[in-house]
Amino acid sequence: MRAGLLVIVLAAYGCNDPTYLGENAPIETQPAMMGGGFAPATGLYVLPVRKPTQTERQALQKLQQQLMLPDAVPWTQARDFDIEIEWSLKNLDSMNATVIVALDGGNEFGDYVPGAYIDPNANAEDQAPPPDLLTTEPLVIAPGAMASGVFREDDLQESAVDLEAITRYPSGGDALATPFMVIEHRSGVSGIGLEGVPPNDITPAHVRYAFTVSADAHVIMDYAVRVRDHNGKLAKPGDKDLYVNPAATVAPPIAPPTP
Amino acid sequence: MIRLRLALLLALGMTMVSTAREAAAQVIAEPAPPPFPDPKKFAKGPFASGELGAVVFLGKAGRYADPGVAFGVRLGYDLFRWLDVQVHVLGESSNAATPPPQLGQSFQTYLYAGEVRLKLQIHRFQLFAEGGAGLAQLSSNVLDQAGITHGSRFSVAVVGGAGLDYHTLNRHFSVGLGADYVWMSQFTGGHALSLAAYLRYTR
Repeated sequence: MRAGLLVIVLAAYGCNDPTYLGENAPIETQPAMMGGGFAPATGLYVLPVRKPTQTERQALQKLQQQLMLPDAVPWTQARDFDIEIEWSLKNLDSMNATVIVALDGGNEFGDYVPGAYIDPNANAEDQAPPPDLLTTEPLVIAPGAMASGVFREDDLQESAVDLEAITRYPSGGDALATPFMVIEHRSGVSGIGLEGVPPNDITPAHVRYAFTVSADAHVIMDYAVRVRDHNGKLAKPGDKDLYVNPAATVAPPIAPPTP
Repeated sequence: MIRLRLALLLALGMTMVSTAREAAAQVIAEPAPPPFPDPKKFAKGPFASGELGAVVFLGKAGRYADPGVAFGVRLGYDLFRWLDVQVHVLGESSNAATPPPQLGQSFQTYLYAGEVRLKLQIHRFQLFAEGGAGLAQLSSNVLDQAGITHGSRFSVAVVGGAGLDYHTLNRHFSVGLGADYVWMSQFTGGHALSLAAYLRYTR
């Protein structure tokens, strides 16, 4: 009884301590090269995760065998982290700006790039990209004003589930259709699009964040990543040898067919 | 014979009258309680106190951290009537007033300190001054962005303060008010004021 109480007290003391990670650089829209207006601005942030030790690698392999999973157990698991992304936008222009912030990216196995999931065999009017993993409503920002928002922890848990279906276990093996199904449905409410995910699967965390800021004016976005690291997998500041691939894009194991 | 009867009646009457007066005198003459309890009879030795109050950050830290509610515990020992040694653990929760994009965040500050308390007892009141040093810990690096913390969540802390203690009629219990200034040397502009009311039990 006393030991249990002690565990609860210690857990309450340490479990909710977040770490705030600063942005790589602000994301700023620039005038388009052609056609006027402003081109969408993009930026990538990769969560700094330490590499597993040899013992930890062996434990992952053993766990894969125990759970009888067809693919590797991820090192960066969704249950290891609670991640929140806070962002703010400033309108640097002299007119109102209408802005949409979209968040895509990937897990340790690969990325989801909506533009790659356009069905080349569909009718021309149906060749639309699937939705982004997370996105804001269109925000109207007055000249010189700011707007701010958050991609919440539960949003990023949900996007991790969506990514798992898209990148490794598409529904019915249909890589092109799966994003349309899983992103439009909350996994806690509907299992549509998740039929291909093994029942014992361990969901990889959403650890690569590809931001797209679309605006009709000159705006700048700052962001910060807030992480609650439950299992000590976040790298220490200054660590160089990190686990998650920092490349601009990482092809997923189940990639959409190329035209 | 008549004289003897009169003498007996008189003696009996005198006895009754004197008894009645004696009973009245016992009630009336009960000694009044002393105006103040004797401080020498207050308990002395190991003590524990719990405190509830607020921490207000000052200076640069005050621009990026709102005042917060604080809870604390002190455990110590009365070495003399005028000197205590004590350990002090304090926990406090504040909202961070950091610039965008980190809005709506909060953090906790913990203080672990060893202190001495100098006391001056005046009847049931006691004036005290206390000071010490220890470690301050922040629960997150949310103030990195504001330039208050610089990667480390820990800082050496120096504490100094004063207060007023009031002893109850129970020899073990007293209550009081205290104010402590806390300087966290590794945090830029790391100054704070702790204000607390406490209940203390001395064994």
